[in-house]
Amino acid sequence: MDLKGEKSVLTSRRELLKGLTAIGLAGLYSPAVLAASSKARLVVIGGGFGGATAARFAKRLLPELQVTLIEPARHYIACPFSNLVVGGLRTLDAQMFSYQALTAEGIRIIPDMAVDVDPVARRVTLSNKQVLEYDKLVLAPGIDFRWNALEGYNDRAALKMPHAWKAGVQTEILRRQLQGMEDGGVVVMSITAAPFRCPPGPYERASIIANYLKQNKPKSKLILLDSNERFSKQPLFLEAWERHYAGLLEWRNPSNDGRVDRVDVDKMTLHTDFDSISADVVNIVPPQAAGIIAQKAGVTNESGWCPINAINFESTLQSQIHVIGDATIAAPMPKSAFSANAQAKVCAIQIARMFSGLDVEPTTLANTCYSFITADKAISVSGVYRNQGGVLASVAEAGGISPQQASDAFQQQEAKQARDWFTSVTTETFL
Amino acid sequence: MPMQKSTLLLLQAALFATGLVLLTSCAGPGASGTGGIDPGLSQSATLASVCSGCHGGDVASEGIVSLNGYSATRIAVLFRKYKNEAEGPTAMHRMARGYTDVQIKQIARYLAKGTP
Repeated sequence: MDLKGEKSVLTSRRELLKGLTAIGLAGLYSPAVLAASSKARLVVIGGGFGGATAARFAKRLLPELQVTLIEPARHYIACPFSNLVVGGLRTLDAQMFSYQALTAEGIRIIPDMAVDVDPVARRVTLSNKQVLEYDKLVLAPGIDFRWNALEGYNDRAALKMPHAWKAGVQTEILRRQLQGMEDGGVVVMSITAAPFRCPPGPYERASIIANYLKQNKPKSKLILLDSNERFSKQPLFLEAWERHYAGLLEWRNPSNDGRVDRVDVDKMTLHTDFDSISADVVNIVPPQAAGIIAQKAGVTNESGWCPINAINFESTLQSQIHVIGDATIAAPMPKSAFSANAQAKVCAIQIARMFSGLDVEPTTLANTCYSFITADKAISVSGVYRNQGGVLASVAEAGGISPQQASDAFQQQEAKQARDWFTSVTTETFL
Repeated sequence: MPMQKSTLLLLQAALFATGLVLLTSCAGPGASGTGGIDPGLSQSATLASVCSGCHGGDVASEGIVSLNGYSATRIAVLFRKYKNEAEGPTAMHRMARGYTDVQIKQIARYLAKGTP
């Protein structure tokens, strides 16, 4: 590429930014028209690790871009580390982040719910009927639950059998139920079949609940009824459970009648194919799909999740809509906060390239998920992902889980790394 | 903690803002050695963007190191060390194995200098 060519790319980028609102070039010279439509508009739906990061990076990369973030919650409550809240090892306050820093950077935040997207007219409708037009839309809606996909489990049932799979009130309910339970009680977790948000999350939660019971209610029992034959970091979790929670924690996979078909909230009972189990505290990790707005936008497929071109995270179903985070089909990259944050940065750069008239370029992505197994010990899984024709593929030589039979010192070091990761990722996203 | 805050800002500057500062001064021909594209939008920026998820905060060096003040050479040498320690057990070892030496060089240069 010669230098003249590059200069023209940069020039055309500025013109694009000014002219993206589909007015003719001549219109640019009319001050009135310019004032009305001089900025390209990026709308981001969802203020979690994906959406907030994408909004921030897009604004930094293209300061002239008009960036709007739609997020009904005034504070974000982070899911990573919320299992420690469930286990009484951390306060919910430590999970809360405001959007002040984003506002200060010039991102317009609308504290409302997006209820509809018209992908053809490129319009988002809010619950207050306000309509926003966009040139590009980033959807980072996270997950919603498929109520009643597990028979007997709906939003009302969740008040008695909490999911705590979106952090906040639900996290507190589960925490309080565990606190209120008598020593000698039975806690049951039901885990839906993959894919779901945070693949190692249920098993970290089991570890941390077991840790709480061991310390405070040692005659109690925790039973995991799992719809999955295998799970993330399995050898490490099984090793930790044997070592720290033997006799306290029991895991049943579908081969051992672990799949829950139905729950009875009034009787606090879970039904498997051949058994029914009554419990004092029930935690349901329910069936999930992409956040409902993704469906409205027409970016979900029959699985309920969103297929994407992993080069720039653009939907394969609708143009000018990008989807990042838990809502996507990005396997082998997992549905994690790390992934959402990493995808958001790549997506923002690629969007900035597109607004600038540059081609998008495939890149390499990575993920690490830490899971606590006791109050001060953690394990991890990592992966590195290359784009192959818009589909992510694990780099074979890379990734994998922490060593088995590791020393306490090594696992304590991983716990410190987990805490540093949380500091870094929340700083980058919210602070 | 004013010291820590300023450290954080410096790192953020190194990780993200440098590219933007350069962008405004790089609009003319010959401004960038690798071809005039806004460094913040370069292949190197995309590759390096994943790093700040762990290394971008005001972290203690006890768990994950902050890369604040690290030269490109130092980042590249350490990155390759992680990559080449065959039995290395940490998350960084496991991730480093997924990057080519060329990619490591790009990442190191971008993180340290904000250039592609």
